[in-house]
This record gives sequence, structure tokens and C-alpha cells, in this order.
Amino acid sequence: MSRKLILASMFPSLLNAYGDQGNLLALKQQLHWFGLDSENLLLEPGMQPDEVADPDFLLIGSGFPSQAIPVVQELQQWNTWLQRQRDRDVPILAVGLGWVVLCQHLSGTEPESLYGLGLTDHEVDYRPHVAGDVLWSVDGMEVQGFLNTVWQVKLGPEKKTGHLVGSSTTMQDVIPFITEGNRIYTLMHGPILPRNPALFQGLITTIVERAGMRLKNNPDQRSLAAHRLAEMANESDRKMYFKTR
Amino acid sequence: MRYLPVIAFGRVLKALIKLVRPQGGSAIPGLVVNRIAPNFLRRTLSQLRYGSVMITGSSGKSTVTKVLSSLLSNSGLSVFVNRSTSNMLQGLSSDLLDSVSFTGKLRSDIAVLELDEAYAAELASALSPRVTVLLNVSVDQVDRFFDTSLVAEMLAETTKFTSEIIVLNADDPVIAALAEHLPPDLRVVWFGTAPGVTDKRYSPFLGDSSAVSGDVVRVESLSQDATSAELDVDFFDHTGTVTIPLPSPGVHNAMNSAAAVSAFLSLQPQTPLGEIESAFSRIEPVYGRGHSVQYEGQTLEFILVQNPASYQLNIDLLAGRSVQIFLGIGDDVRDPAYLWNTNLGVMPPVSIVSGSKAHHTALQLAYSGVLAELIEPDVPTALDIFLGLPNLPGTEKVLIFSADVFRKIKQYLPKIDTSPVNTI
Repeated sequence: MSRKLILASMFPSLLNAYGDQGNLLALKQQLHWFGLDSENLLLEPGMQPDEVADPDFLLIGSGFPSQAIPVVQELQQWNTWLQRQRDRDVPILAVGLGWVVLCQHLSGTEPESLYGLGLTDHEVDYRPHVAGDVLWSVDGMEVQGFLNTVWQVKLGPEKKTGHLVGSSTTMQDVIPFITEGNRIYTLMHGPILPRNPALFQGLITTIVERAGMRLKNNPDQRSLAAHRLAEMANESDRKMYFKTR
Repeated sequence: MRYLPVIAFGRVLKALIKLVRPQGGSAIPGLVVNRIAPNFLRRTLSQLRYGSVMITGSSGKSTVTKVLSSLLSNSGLSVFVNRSTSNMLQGLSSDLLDSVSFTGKLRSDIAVLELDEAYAAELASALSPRVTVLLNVSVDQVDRFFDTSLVAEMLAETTKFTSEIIVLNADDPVIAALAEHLPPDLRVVWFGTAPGVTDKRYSPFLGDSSAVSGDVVRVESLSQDATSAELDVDFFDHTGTVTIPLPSPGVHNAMNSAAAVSAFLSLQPQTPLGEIESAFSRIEPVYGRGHSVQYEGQTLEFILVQNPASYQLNIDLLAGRSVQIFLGIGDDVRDPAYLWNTNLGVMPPVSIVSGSKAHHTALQLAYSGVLAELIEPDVPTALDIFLGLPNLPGTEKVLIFSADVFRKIKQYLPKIDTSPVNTI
């Protein structure tokens, strides 16, 4: 017997600068095409975390750099709830500022450096703005998206980071994407899931299996058609913009 | 006479470029003129008897420019207006080349200048505009303006160089907050919406203007079909209500109209409100902002997409209508991610998706549950197909597009190019 999957989004009214909530729309639609029911759980400042159900998926979208301090302040009261989701290994997609605020410490922010929520062991530096298309490879999987950031996330020396396959920008040493357990951290913002079928399909499988359910073997044609569109969009961007490949 | 050689050279250059690109404008002559005569722009515009008005902000610039210039023209002034595609320094100089005599004389009384928010401060420092209209700060062109606070800073900078009047949006908290830091000799006038006029799709802050005191023009109400509005004028010299047809439908265009009326009354305070009302009935729609034209026996409606808020309002107006849709998003939308903030699920089926971002757009439509019948990235080919679709009785053809696709549509349909003229 399947139940409704709960798809949560943290502060969608604040953390949706670059269309990141499109990931929630696409996830809900894909689950529907697989014959699975889901409901959105929109978490906003002012809600009581201890009254909020544990979700099957959590999106923490991106915001503007100038929002870093207020977002960290608002998220402080959610820290225990967020820690619980991390410890439950709930699939989390944290995008841009949504990733950065989970880190240990942010340096170079205005007007001062800032302590993050400490939910990851990453450190963050404020850097000159960089924008452009990126194709990144990690664990044999390629992920493509648009990088538009002033953040540089620093991982520990032991961390597996992947490598740059192609780019339209001189992004130097920015790490745009990593995974840790069921958590996806990315500086490539916007609809990163619908744009990357392999990543998306893996996430859907994880969400469904964690909930004790199974995906049907024959994917819906609409699901496959959407994935084909994503591949064509990515191919088109690579042809138009990439300097290196 | 000092600019005679410069103007002559600039015009020859313009003519040569026109031979190569008959349908496209070019800022190159302006770039060259600014390089060889750096004071050309400032000296030319400083001749204006009534000075210049600068209009800037994230969205609504073209509509406000059109409405304000029409109101000023209706009051008997000769108005210089730059083309909406010439909203940077070189484009403005390029436009001026067409309007000055060989001796450099500008035959206008006042200039209404639409300016890109990134260049407004630089131009303001050169021109010292008499009036600056600051419309709004919204998420737009995120690869250029990666933080709305940057746009706010750029707009704040323009106020330092304005000589007399600042027109501010009372419903935009970022713009309204600028009033606290203005030089004391500047007069502030406002525009906004009354508390009853709310539309959270456009802005969560609509209806917040009640806190503002002083000279203000508010949108009091909007007709059911959003094609006309009642504006409440509360100025020192004037109080009353005007009922106006909107230059294009939607609450955002009612706001734009209120901004234009506020700026106009700050310049021409003696104008009876009845004259403003009748002037609106003569304003033609802004090209590409929801206006319709006849083309080879079919009605085509044009809608320009500039940011998620106006995109949403425009497609919401399609609900319940029988339409065939051409949807084209091009290179100007460098990263289409932010358009995912728009709910496309309310759209009727789309006949054809085009532009260099066609597959991105089709992807969003697919996840929004909207059928895209055909994808053709090449705009002329897509237009061939779309315009060749049979004319179904009671069905209109609607073209929704970004600026880059708009340019290609204008090249494809040159007969209906009604770009604003420079002097009205």
C-alpha cells in the first residue's frame, strides 16, 4: 500500500531566486507519472519546527548573496529539525545559498564573516561573481547546469569532488556539485533535477525505496519524453556556449 | 557648429550600417561619436528647455516612457524619446544623431529617456536629469544582476545626480526606502496602488502605498478584464480621479500608467485631469506589450516576456481564450532557470516553441503539464509554420517571446514594425 510522499521545501518564499522550486514541480510530476502520490510541504519562517512532519525529500533553494545573514538567522530555529533530517539520511537537494548556509563558516561576507548552521563540514569563501554553463562529472555521472555564484565552497582534502568536463566560463577552482550520502549539494541553480535525467532518476529511486515503495518497471512515456527534452536542451547549450569540452 | 563633422560622420556611418543591416538598429555610430566627441550627448541634451526625464528600473520602462512622452506631447511639447533598444549610452547618442540638425541643434523641448538600470547612474552623472522615475527592483537578467541589492544600489546612485524631482514606487519596499536618503532639495512624488488592488503574482507588496504621504497617484481599481483603471490623484495642485484605458492590459500596466501620470503632473501641474483622461484614449499600445496587428488576413497578438512577474500576468490573461500560441525564448535569456518561477500550468496548449532556448522552454512546459505540439528552434522556420496554421474561427494567434526572438520576429515581419519614432 503506497502512501503520499512528502516533498518539503525550506523557505520557498525566500529561497527561490533562480527558479529552484522548479525542482519540486518536476519531482512531483515525475512521481505522478510513476503512479505515485505526493504532497508539497512548504516550510516558511514563523512555523514551529517541532510540529512539522519528517519529509521524504527536502529542497533548500537558492537566494541572493545579500540574504545570507537573514536566512542563517531564520534557519537557526530549524537547526535541530534539519540535523534530524540529515541524520535520517533524507534525500536533500541544497542549491546555492541553500547549500552555503548549511556550512561551517562563511568568510568575506558583508558586513562580516558569518557562522553557518554547521550541518556540513564545508567552509565557504565569498569570491568574485562567476556565471556560465558547466558540465561536471562525479562518480561517472555528468551533471549540467548554470553556475551563477559568488561562493566558493571548500571541502576537506579527503573529499571526492569530481572534475570539470566543459564550461562556458573561467570558473577556476569552483566546485559546483557534490553528493554526500543521499544529499545533493550544488551551486548550479534552477531546475537542476529536470535538466539531468540520470541524477533525477537516481534521486527518485532513492526517495521511493526509502519510503518502502517500488517504482514500476516500465517508465511512463511522458517521463521519458521529458528526459529527452532535457538532453536536447543540454546539448544545445553545449553547442552554443562551451569553450572547452 | 563644433559638432558638424561628428554629426556628418555619424550619419554616414549609420547609413552605411543600414545598408548592411536594413532591419536592425545599431549603436556603433553612437559608440564612435561618444569616443571622438565625449561631450556630444551632454551638450546636446542640455539644450532642452524643459530638461530631461530619466526612466529606469527592472521592468515597465518602455510602457512608462511611451505613456509619459505621449502625455507631454499632448500638452504641446516636442519630446525626444530614445528607442527602447537604445537604452545605453552609445544607443542614445546613435538615436540623437537622427534628431539633431547638422549644427547640433535639437528640435525638442524635453527628453524622455528609457535607460538600462546598469547605465542609468553613469548617464545621470553626465546629464543631471530634471526628473528621475525609479520603477521597481525585481528578479531579472540574473546572470548580469546576481543580487537585487546590486540593482537597488545602482538606482540609488541615480538620485545623486537628479536636479529636481524623484518619482518613486510606493509599493516596492526597496524603491520606497530610497526616499529616506535623498538630498533635501529634491522633491519626491509617488505612485502606487490602493489597498484594495492586490495581485501577489506581480508583487507581494501591492497595496502598500497607503503609508505614503505627499503627492501620489494611486491605482484605485482595475476593470474585470484589466484593460482600464481608475487612478486616484492626490497632488498639491490637484485631487481627483481619472478613468483611463490602459496602454496594455494588466495591473503592472496600471502601475506603469500611474508612474507616468505622477511624473507628468510633477512637470505640468496645471494640466486639468480631464485632459489626461482624454490623452490616454489616444495612446497607442506599446509595440510587443499585448498589442494586436493584422497580418495577411490574420490577427496577431504580441507579448514580450521580460521577467517572471509580467510573464505570469500575461499568460494568466490567456486563460479561457481560444488561442494558438507561438512561444519563443532566445539568447537574451542567458539562463532560463529563473523563468521556472512562472507557473506555465495555466497556459493553453502551445502550437510551437521556438528560439535558442526552445528545448528548455519545452522542458518546463512538459513538467507543467502543457502540451507543446512542435519544437523548432529556428525562429523564421517556426514563424513560417505558425503563420501557416489554418485560421480557426474565433481563434487568435498569440506570439509570446523574449527580446531576442522579438528582434527576429521584426526582421521576419518588417511591414508591421512600428518601433517608436524618436520625436513625437
